[in-house]
Amino acid sequence: MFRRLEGILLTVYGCFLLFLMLSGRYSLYMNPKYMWLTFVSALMLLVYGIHGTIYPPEHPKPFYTAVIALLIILMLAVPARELGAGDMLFSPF
Amino acid sequence: MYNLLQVFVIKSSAIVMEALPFILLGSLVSSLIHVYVSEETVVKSVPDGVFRQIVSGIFLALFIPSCECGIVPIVRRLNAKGVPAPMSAAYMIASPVINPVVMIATYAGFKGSAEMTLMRVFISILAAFAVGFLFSRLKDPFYAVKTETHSHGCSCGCHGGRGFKNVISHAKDDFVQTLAYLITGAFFAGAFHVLMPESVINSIGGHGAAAVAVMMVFAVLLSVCSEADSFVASSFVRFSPASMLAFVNFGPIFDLKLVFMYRAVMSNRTMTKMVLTAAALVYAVCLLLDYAGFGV
Repeated sequence: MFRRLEGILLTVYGCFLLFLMLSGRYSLYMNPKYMWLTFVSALMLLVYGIHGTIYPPEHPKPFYTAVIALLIILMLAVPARELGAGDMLFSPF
Repeated sequence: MYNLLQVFVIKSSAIVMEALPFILLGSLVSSLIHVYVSEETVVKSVPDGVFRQIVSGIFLALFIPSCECGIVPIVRRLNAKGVPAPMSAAYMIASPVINPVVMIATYAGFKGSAEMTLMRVFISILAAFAVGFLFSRLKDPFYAVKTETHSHGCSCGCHGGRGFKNVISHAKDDFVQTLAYLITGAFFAGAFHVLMPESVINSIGGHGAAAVAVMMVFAVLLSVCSEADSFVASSFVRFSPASMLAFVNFGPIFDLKLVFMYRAVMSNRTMTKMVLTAAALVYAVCLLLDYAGFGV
C-alpha cells in the first residue's frame, strides 16, 4: 500500500486542483489568467498519479511522500476563503 | 492565529501551483533526454575546453528553456548523460533568464524597458561564466545519479527501454523528488510572507549598496519564479532600477525553494561556493550600475 501512496497523493492533488478551478476557488490562490497552465498541470498530475498507482516505484522515499501529503492535508484542512470588508481591518502586526 | 495559518497555506500553495507547470515540463524534458538521447550522442556533441563548454551551456538555454523550478531535474539528467560540469552549471544559471518566455516576461514586467531586459540577460551571462569556471575547478561538483537498483540507473519501477510508459515512469520519479524540495522551500517562503508583508518591504526602499543588498535578500526570501519576478521587482517603486536588477538576477540563482532543490544535485559545500560566487558578481555589477545612475 505504501508503495502506491505516492501515486495516490499525486492523483488526489491533481483532482484537488481541478476542483479549485471548477468551483471558482482558483482565484483565491492564483491569478485566473494562469488557469490554463494549472489545468494542464492537473491533467499531467493525474497521468503521473494513475501511472504511479498502477506501477508503484520499487523504493518509494518516505520523506518525499510525507512532504507531498503535508501540503495536501494543509490545503484541505485550511481552505482559502473569500475576503470580506472586515478583513481590511485585520493585520498580523 | 487561524488567519495567519490561512495566509501561510495560501502563499505556500500558490508558490507550488505557480511552479507546478514548469517542474512538470522540466521532469518531462529530463525524462525524454534520459530515454531517447544516448550518452554517446551527448559526449560527441560536447565541445572541448571550459570556455566553449560554458558558451554551449548558455546557448543550450535557448533550446531547452526552463525556469529555475524545472531546471534541477534537467541538470541532473544532463550530468548523468556525461555533460561536463561547467556546461551544465552554465546552463543551470542561464536558463531561467536566457529563454524566450522569461525575456518577454521581463520586457513586459519592466513596462517595455529594453534596457532592463538586456542588462538582465547580460548579468545572467556573466554569472553563468563565473559559476561555469568555478565548477571547472571543483572536483565532482554534481552528485552522480545513483545506480542502486537496476541496470539503467534509477528506482522508478520501470524496466528500461523506450516508450511512453518508461518516459512517464522517469518523469514521475524526477517530478516527485523536485516537488518535495519545492514544497519544503515554499513552506519557508510562505512563512516569510506571513512575517514580512510587502508593505514593510516597500517602506525600506532607496539607492546604493544597502538597497542592492536588501533586494538580493528579498529575492532569496520571496522565492518568486523567474517568469514573474520582474513584475514583483517593478512593484518595489522605492528601489533603484539597479537594485531591481539585483532582485531579478539573484532570485533565479538562489532562493528558499532552490536551497532544497539544489540538494538533489550538489552538496551544501558546492552550493555555498556557487551562491557566494554568483552573489558577489551580481552585487558588484548592480552596485556599479547603481553608482553609474543606470535607468534613472
